[in-house]
Amino acid sequence: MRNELTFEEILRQTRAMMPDVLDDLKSLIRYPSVAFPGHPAEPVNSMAEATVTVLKRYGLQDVRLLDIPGGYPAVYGEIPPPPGAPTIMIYAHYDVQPATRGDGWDTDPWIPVEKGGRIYGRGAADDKSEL
Amino acid sequence: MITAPLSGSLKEIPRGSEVLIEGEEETTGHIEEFVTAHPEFFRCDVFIIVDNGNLSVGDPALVTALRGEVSCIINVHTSIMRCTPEYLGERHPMRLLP
Repeated sequence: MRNELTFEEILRQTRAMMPDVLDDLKSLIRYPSVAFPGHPAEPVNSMAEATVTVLKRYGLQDVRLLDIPGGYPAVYGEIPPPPGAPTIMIYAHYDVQPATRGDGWDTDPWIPVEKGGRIYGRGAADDKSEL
Repeated sequence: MITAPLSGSLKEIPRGSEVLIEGEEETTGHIEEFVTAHPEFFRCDVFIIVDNGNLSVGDPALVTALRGEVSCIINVHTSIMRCTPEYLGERHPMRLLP
């Protein structure tokens, strides 16, 4: 199969997806998925499930949680390659650093806030923006 | 978002994609043993680490190299005699300690 997509077309399609993508990002920021010891496990596991949901919605196949002994599950999904095509593996993470208002946040770190074309919230960049 | 461009007509780009979202990158992780035990999940031609902020809006970043740490023991063998590179050539390491 020949790739007919131009750079401009990729940009156009990506921009068209942005409203949904930003909605997803905002919903994921609300999970305080801090995996450090001493923090509650429930939000981390809920975030893992939410990540599964997002991957499925964007058409990935065989999406599932991988049991990581001793730790929180990883989320896996795939789009099988056409014959002869290369496979790209993409790594990201759904856990975040702890955050409290006392750290100097102007807003609640677990509630996404859009200001000046940017989204503020824990994980808005590292690394939920990459999901 | 990495998953969005994998959908729609962008998926016509001929390649396979595998996505792994770890749950313990910020803290002590346990995935290393899993990778060793299940290499079938990690076979790929290109591995992209998507864990970096864009420098500016609309200006994507791509990881091309990583710093890391290596723990190793290096054994160097040389002669037990003191000798100079002029005598045996520069590929012959000199003893620094008696």
